[in-house]
Amino acid sequence: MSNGEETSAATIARQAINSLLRNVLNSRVVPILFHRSPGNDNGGDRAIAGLHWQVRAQGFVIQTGVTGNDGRVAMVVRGASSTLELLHNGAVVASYDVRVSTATLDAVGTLIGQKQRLRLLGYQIGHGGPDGNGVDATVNMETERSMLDFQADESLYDDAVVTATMQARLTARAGT
Amino acid sequence: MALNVRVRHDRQIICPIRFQRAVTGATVADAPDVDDRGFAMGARSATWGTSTVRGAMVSIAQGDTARVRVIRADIDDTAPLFVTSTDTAVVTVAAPAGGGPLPADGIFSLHAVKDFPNRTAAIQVRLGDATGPVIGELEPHIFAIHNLRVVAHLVTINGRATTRTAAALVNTFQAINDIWRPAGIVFLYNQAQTQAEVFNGFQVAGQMTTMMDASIPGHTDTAADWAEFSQIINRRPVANHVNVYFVENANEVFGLTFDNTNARPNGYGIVCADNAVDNSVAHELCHFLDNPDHVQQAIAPGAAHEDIWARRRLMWTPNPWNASAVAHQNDVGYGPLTRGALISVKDLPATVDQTDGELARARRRSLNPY
Repeated sequence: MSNGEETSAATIARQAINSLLRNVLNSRVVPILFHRSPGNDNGGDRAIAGLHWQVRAQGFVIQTGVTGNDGRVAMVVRGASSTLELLHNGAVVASYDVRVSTATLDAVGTLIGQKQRLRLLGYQIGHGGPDGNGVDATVNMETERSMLDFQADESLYDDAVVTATMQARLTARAGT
Repeated sequence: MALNVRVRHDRQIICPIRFQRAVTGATVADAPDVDDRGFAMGARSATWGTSTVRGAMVSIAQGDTARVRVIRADIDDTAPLFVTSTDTAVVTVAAPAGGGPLPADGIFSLHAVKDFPNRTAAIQVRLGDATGPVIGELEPHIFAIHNLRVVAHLVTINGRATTRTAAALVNTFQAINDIWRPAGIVFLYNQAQTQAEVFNGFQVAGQMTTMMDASIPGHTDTAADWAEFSQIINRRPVANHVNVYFVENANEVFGLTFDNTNARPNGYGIVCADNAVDNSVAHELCHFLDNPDHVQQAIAPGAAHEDIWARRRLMWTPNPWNASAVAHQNDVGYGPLTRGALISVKDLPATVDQTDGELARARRRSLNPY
């Protein structure tokens, strides 16, 4: 089950003239949402509007735009990854190397599954782990703080203990 | 350097920044702790007005300047960030000039202009320049100073006296005020008013003996369990002052407090032993100001608070604590095994935390403290 927008994939096939060979280019559109605080409500009054952005893939700028009141960037990820760049007066001031995984989320009963959901919702779990996005099997200060943040935001008892209730809430907010 | 994002499932939310105390280690007067417990704001005192901010809160005494740090949790270290105030009659950005760009350490300074009832301001962090998009918000609360007079009593029990002196307590109360001043509460200690008290016939020389824990021999579960405490706090209390009695030792506690809802002859006041550090005396003063509970005693079904937030709060106990098996919990920003000094500004729902909102309760009591 998903809980909102779906990523979409596009396959662009180019057939060379007088040839049976085809070059296939895989693209995927993924929603990136910039918020001032975490949580899955499509931004509301916490979305970051007015961000100028561009997407760069394989050395070329392939998209540009400005975030609206939902803070959303419908980003094209071409091939293995694309780079989302935030701009100020036309200069790049921040960038994100965006990759897409088509795998389902790990089980919410696992630490990895919990951190995947916290990360998805915007909770700040650090940048450790194999993907550099904080998702790994380590409980550190950032992990505990993010769990506490989630509990406080969800009106759950804030002791950083992942109960069945918290697991259910993570699933409800971020998906199964 | 680009931050890595791996989109799974159907979307990815990015929250670029958060806020944190500007320093680590011991409390510093102009670097108050930031109540960053969640992004929800919780209940608000009647005079706090309304706010659309979702994020951290920080308290600052009116007229003071305080430092706060921006943590670039999910944005490049080099991204130019600027800080602005939505209401400069309430709070202004004192540094950096023009609000930014913030230095590499992310620290900026706020000047608390005035404590207005029902008038809130937001500190906004913007990308690029002072008119750029708002990427994070902090709610500062400005508090006019309430001065509370304190009298110290240096106690001798069966011939053994506290090692504290009237002169040394000047530094103690300075350190206490470093903790309490951001809440707009200042304890005025005049060493010339310090009184010497002598008790004889107590159970142990130099010691205030109590039997509050059921495991202590002689425990009766009656007022007799704290009879020596009651004797001490009723000895020559000075009217219209907070009376703090310093003893050499106490068998069960670093300090013990009855607030002024306990009428005399049972009495009210504070007793602190010599092993109570400045933070612990500040903790007892928080009890006196209508905060009777300890953070970890707020019990949800089968659970006590043992987490990093609880350990950062002034009302955690004990201090220092025994090492946790969870290594990162052993330093929450104030040094190894050392309790923090956060007086909670937020008042989250009781389902989350039953004892927070300490600052608001203390402020109310500080209007009628004696």
